[in-house]
Parts: sequence; structure tokens; C-alpha cells
Amino acid sequence: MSESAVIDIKGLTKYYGHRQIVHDVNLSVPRGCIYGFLGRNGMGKTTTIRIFLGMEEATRGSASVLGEDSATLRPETRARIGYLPEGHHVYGWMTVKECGQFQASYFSSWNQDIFESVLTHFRLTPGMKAGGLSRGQRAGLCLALTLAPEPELLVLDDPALGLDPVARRSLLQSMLYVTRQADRTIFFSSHLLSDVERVADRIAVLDGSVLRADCTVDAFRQGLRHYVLKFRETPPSAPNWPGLLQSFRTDHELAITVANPAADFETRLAGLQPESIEPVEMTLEDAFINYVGERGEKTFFMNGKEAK
Amino acid sequence: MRTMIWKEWRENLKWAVLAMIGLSMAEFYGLYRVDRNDYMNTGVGTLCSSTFYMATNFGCALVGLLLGFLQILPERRRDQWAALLHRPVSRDVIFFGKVVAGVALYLVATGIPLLACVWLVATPGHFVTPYVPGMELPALADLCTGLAYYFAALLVALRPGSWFGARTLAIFAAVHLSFFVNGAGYFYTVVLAAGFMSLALLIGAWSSMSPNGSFRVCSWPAKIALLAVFFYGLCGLGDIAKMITSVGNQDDYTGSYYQITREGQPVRMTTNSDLTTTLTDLQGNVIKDERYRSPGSYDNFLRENGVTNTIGEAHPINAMDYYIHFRDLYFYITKIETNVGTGPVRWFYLPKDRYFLGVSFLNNKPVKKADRSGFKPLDAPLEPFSLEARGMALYDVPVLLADENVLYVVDFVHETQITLSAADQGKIYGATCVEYKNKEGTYTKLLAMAFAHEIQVYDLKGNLIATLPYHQDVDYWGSIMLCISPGQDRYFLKYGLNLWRRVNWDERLSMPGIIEEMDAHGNLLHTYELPSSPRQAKPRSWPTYVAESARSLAFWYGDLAYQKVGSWLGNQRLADANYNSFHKYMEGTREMAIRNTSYSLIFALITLIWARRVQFSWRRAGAWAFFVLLFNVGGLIVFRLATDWPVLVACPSCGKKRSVEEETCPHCHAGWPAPRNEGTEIFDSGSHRSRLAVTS
Repeated sequence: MSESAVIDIKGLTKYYGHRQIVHDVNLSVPRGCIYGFLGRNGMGKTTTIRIFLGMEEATRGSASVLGEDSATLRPETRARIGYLPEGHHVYGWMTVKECGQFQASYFSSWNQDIFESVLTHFRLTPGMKAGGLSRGQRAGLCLALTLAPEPELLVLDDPALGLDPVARRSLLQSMLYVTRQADRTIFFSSHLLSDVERVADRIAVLDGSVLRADCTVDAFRQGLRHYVLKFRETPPSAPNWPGLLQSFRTDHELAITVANPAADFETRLAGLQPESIEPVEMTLEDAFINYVGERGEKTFFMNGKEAK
Repeated sequence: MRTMIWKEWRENLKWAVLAMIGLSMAEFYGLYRVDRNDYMNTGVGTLCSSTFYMATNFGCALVGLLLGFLQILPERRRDQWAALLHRPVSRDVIFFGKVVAGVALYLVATGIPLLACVWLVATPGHFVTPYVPGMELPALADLCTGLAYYFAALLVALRPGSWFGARTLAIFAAVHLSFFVNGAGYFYTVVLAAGFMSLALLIGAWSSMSPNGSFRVCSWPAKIALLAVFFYGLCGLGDIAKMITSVGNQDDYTGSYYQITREGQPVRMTTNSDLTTTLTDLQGNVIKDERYRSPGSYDNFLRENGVTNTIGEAHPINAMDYYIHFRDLYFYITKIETNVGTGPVRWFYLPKDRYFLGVSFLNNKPVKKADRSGFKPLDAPLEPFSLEARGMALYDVPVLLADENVLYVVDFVHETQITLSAADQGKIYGATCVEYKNKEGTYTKLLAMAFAHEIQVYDLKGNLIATLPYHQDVDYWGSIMLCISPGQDRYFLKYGLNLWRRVNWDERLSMPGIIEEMDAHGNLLHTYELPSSPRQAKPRSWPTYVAESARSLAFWYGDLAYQKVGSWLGNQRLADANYNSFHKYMEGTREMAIRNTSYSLIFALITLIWARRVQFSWRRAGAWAFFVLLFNVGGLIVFRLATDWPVLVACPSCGKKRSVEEETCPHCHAGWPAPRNEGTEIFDSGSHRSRLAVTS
């Protein structure tokens, strides 16, 4: 296991039937880090999480959490992990108070103050029926249930899915406020890059079941470059350069996104003889969409040429 | 676990209450449908009526399935299940928390309606049929069976895999249990069988709680339990197929039996498979007299009255309950089937307490009783008969109840009772009302008692009319019927095999017999030898052939060994079976042994090849082949359903098929290549760098 790694995944591979969901993933999450786990739907994020939490078995490879093999996690170790699965499931027939009591009965480290604080933050009262809560309130209740045991490791599977921006912001605020107190580790998967950008120290990106990136947010952004090349005539197709992610050709422009550009990359671009080369700054969201989006060339021509 | 139990209880209580209401309605309907407004006919079943059984049989099974499924399936959605499992407790605690609550809910849903029904039946004033402790056992047996359905539902809901494969077999295993329970003779066998099946299903369900529920990683007890469930599931499917196709019910026989004409001539009647009847004398000459061939020819033969079936010191008459099924009402209570008026009172014999109880059908309350000292009010001291008479059909008028040495003749019409005994003859082995048609065409009733050496015939006032000594060995020919000629001058004893000689029913019907003709003083006038009349079975149909060939070697040889050991230990029934298997029907036994062993060997070989083709180790493939050898084609199907089939893909190195679970290829020993490096990977110094192949 890596030094002080809270989650350590080695060569993890998972098949469902003949379909390979996760392909040889290696990942190490250091203690005290907020780790964003990114990827499009169906890329294997939830499966990876479920495997390292010991809910599914890997086809090959291994995973350990808090120094313990995931396949044989002891209840005491599990008590140190907070897990919020996607969907924010609650037992609809329970009241908010009963949900807390039910959860508290399993955790010796249950902190009622945290539970009540999060409830208050989401304007929840103990007598409310869980089945009648809005999505945002339900997410708040789930978060309260997850945070109250004061876990060392917090694993959130798409926690903001389906929430409006206000609820999302509340969720993040609560999560950060509680967990930042004591050097805890957060591992969360998400599609919402603005959230990731705001809170994550590092990100890992799964693409096509393979881990393609594992770095800081800044390193990820810096690893990708986007250029817009302007031409007097119809631009040529971009050559198949190493690291080329996407190119987009229109009547007089060629937009190129490339990963890990070589030092002489702009010289190569100049070789296409454009009128101008404009490097464009990307947000994390733009970078991510370009990174995991469809690879290859896209075109769009207005002047008599066929649009692809 | 307490919180889990609380949660499950609260969550599913509504379903249990709904099920309880539904089952209560069905069971009340079962009770009342047969008894209300039906007091003059057969409506006395209450807790042992077929409608009530229908309600408990299907009701308990459905409640078990419903609760099992509702406890798991709504929560089985991926994330919801993950939320449930991610707790600092083991999966076992979660599972058994569910099970404890589920079983409690099941008992609420099924137990309360049953208790209500028992209370209703046991409280005088509701039903004309008296309640006897034990009448609730058949319903209790169904309740135990329903528990197996509950565990089957848990297993089905928890087990990964196709609904049309191994999962659903668990329900058919419970169906197999239902078939067994409905045919079982004793309550304790039901409890044992239901306990065994429930345990197997429970362990199977428990093992399915593991992260992937795969067979290979199960413990040995779990493997055995799952194999048993799958095997019995196939048996359940077989039971249903057998019920639908009627394989094994070969009723289309050609068979003969003997009767005596009113003139005293024994004749042989042969019923052909086309339902026509041929009448011959004992020499085989066809009798063409239309009197014996017309539809109303019944009156032209002497009426046969069975006097005894079981003469012999070793076989006391009250051991007859060997033949009674615990689901049969006669096991607990015997209704006196009289068509003549007994006033507003229905009479019942209570075998356990050994007296007759009269219940008014006007208010459904007991009004009087009859014991060995005669009819008396309810509050009079009881002097019970010494005979249990469990299961005896008490439908003669008057009703006869034979004690060891005394015959009680109970007339429920006039509420009188006389006793007959023959002290010098000793024990009574049977008694009956003998009815014959006299010359004037009216019917006359007499009483007959079978002793160790003779049958005595009395009139209804107790006067001795005839003494008929046996001239045959009654320890063998111990089943005797009495016929009386219209002039009451000739008596015929028709001997059959003693009931305690354990011969199957078909063979019993085909055995030879003897008729002795005597006068009233017991002088032997004539003895007729009745030739055997072998029944000719139809040729074996192909479904029967298949069903026979599919028998498990383990069970078949096990049964033979059981017979052999039982025979050595002196068990008569097993000794008879052993004799039949190894001597009388040795040919059949040999043929079956060769056929079953051959098929099992073929299927075992198929399994071995199949298992090796999907890259099972020799040890694992051999174990499965051995299993199939023991369980024949059923084992092969179980192998297909139970085993974890590896996903095989082409090896990137050698192109041959290899399992995705194995690190190295069994053919070229290559490992798995890393994912292809596309040049777009972004890893910084802090990453646990992914193992990606270098771009070629």
C-alpha cells in the first residue's frame, strides 16, 4: 500500500458477463485529500466505489481501504467510512428522527450535534416524514446520516445528482464544514465539474473503463490545451498528433484540443499555415468535456459543404 | 440486530396484516362453506375439510412467498441495497435481522388466523363437529410448509443470476415439499421434512448475501444446501410434470375378480380395458346368462360383507391406524354415517377418549354421550370403550364396536345398546353387520364376529344363528368376506390375503383365493380354488421410461441398501421390499440397475468434458462429474444451473479462450496486457501511476 493511502486500488478489473466495466485501474487516495472521481455515465465509477467498499467482488486485482482488504472489511473499519450512495435513499415510512435513531444505533461514534446541525441547515425537523421530503431535503438528511458518525473517510457517489443549485451548494457547504475540521478524506464521484473545481484537491478520470487521468485539478487543466486556428480558406484536417483529443473544423476555423502537448506543439500548428493561432483558456468543465467527449474530428460547414 | 428487526418489523407489518386478513377470510370460508346448512350430509370437516386445506395449503405458501419477496425485492435496488449493507455490522447480522422479523411476521400472518379458526371450532356452539386436540395439526403442517416458501422467496430474491434458472428452482423445491406434505402419513415426518427444506433454503439464502453470491466461494454447508435446493427444485418440477401428464398412474389394466351368484356359483368377472365385462365359471367357460350381464345385475350376486382383514395374534385390530393419514378427519374423529333419523343429533366417535358424543345440530352443542355402559347424559361418569377404533368406518346400522372380547351393538336410532361376547373364543378380530337379500326380495340384517378359529353369526337380538369354522390357515388367508344365500341355509367364506401380508395392491388383487361353502352348523359343503388373475399392465409409455431412467443412482441404490439393512435388522416391511427387489423382481432390478448406471455414467462423462472445456480444474471437473454420477440427469441440470460459469475471452497473446478471472493464460501463460496508452493520459507526480501500455 502507498504511504498513508486511505484507498489503495491495484489492477482492479471488473466484468459483468462479457462486458468489461473497469479495466486495470490503479489508484491511491492519500489521507486528508478531497478526491474527485470523474467520468461519463457507465464508465465504472460506481462499480469501482462498490468494489473498494466490499459490496462487490473484483474479477481481478485488489483494493484496500483504511489499510484493510476491501473483500473482508470488518464492521469496525466500516464504521470509520461514511458512504452516501447515489439516489439519496431514505426509508419513507420513518420520520427524520427515526432515521437518525436507526442509523445511530449502528455507530458508537454518532455525533448528535452534527446530525442536528445538518438537519437545521437543510431546514429539516425531527417529526417530518422522510417519504414526504423534497429531493434537496432528502439529500440533506442522507448527508446528516453519513456525517454524524464522524467518518475518517467519506465516500460520496454523485451526491449532487438531481439537486438544484441551491441544494447543491448547501450540500457542499455542509460536507466541507464538517469534514474539514479534522483532516478527513473525501472521495466523491460527480458530473458537476463546478463543484469538483471548488472543492477537490485531486481528480481521477475514468474513460472507457480505463483510468486516464490522476492528478491535481490544476495539473489536469494544464495538461490540456485548446487552440483556435483561423484560416482564409477552408482549414485542413488536423494531423493525427499524439495526444490529440478533438478537432472541430468550420468554414474558416480549426479548433484543436490536445492533451500533454509537446514543447514544439505550437510550431507544429504553425505548420498548418493558419492566419492566426489563439490559445484558449479552459474551465475544468470545458477541459473535462473535451477530455471524455467523442474523440476525432468534427466538422460544420455552412458554404455548400456537407455538415458532419 | 435489534434495530434491524425493528426496522423490518415496522416496514413489513402492513403486508403481514393484509396477508393475515386475506388468509383469515380464506380459512373462515373453508370452515363455513362445508358446515353451515349442510348438517345432514358430509359437512363435518371443519379443520380437516378439503376447502380448509385448500386455504391453508395455498394460503400459507402464498403468504410465505409474499413476505419473503416484499422484504427483499423493494430494497434490492443497487443503491438502496448498498445503503443497507454499508453499516458497521456483518452481513449475517443484517440477514438474520431480516429473517427473525420475517419469521415473526409470517407467524403473525398465518398463526393468528389459525388460532382464530381453532378457537372457533373448539368453542361449542359454532360447529356441529366436536373439536379434538390434534385436528389443527394438518393446518400446522401447512404453516410449517409455508415457512419453507418464505425462505425460498428470500433465496430467490437474494440470489444473483437469471430468474429462469437456478433462482426460481428454490420455489419448486418448496413445491416439492408441498407434494410431500400432502402425502405424508405422520405429522412428525412433515415437521422433519419442512425443517430440512427450510434449513437448506435458509442456508442457501444466507450464502447469497455474500458480495457476489457465487457458488464457488460458498462454504461447504452452503454448497450442500444449494445443491439440495436445486435438486429438490427439479423434483418439484417433476412432481408438477407428473401431475399434468399422469405418468405412473396406469389405471388401464385388464383385471379379474370373483363373485358368487344368488344360486351359489362362484364366477369370474373380467373387466377389459375397453370397460366391457366377461363372465366365466371357474373353468373358464363363458356364461351368457343375461341376468348377470345387465346393468342391474348387482342384485343377482350375493352381497359380500367383510368381516375381518387381520386375523393373527401379532396384529391387533386397533393397529389399523397404520393406514390412516394424519390429514384425514378419521384420524381424530369418526362421524356415524346413519341415513335413518337420529333426531336433531349428530353422533361422533372420539377415538382418543373412546366414547360416542351426540351433538345437536340445532345449537351445535353436545347434548349426550354413549359409552360402554350405554347412552347417558353428558354429565354422567364416563366409562370409555377400550378400543380406539381410530379410522374405522362406523356407518353400519346399528354401529358395531368390537372390544377385545366384547362386541357393542349401538343403535343410535333407538338409543339402545347390547353387548355380545364369546368368552370361550377369546379375542374378536373383526365384526360387521351382514346384509343379504332374502327370497322375498327384502334385506335381512345379521351380525358376524370373527374369532381366531371361526366366525359366529347372530341375529340383531343377539341369538347365535351359525358357527363357521375356518378350514384355511388364517394367518395367511386372514382377510375374510361372508356371503349368505337368500334362504339363509348356505354360508360362503371368501378368503383373501391377510392384510398384514405386505403385498402391493395390484398384486393383492391378482392373487388366488379360496371360497368355502358351509351350512349353518359349519359343515364344509364345498371348497372352490380361485385361480390367480394376473393384471396385465399396458406397455410402458415413453414418459414413464424417461421418468424411470432419470432416477438418481444415489437414491436408488440407497433405497436398496436401506431395504437390505432393514431386512437384516428384522423390519418386516423392508424385508418384504428386499425380497421383492432381490428375488421376486430380480430381473426388473437388474434391468433398472444397468439402465440407470449407464445413463448416469454417460451424463457424468458429458459433465467432465463440459467442465474441462470451460477450464475447470481436473479436481473441480471430477467433483462435478461424481455429483452427476450420483444424481443422473438431475445432477447434470443442477451442474448447469449451480456452477459459476467463467467468462471466457480470446487471449490477447495466443488467441485461445481464457477465463477473465485468471491472471495468466492456461495455454501461453501470458498475463493480461495493460490498457493501451493513447497519449492523452494525465498523471502527475502524486499519482499511483496507472499501468498503461506504451503506445506502439
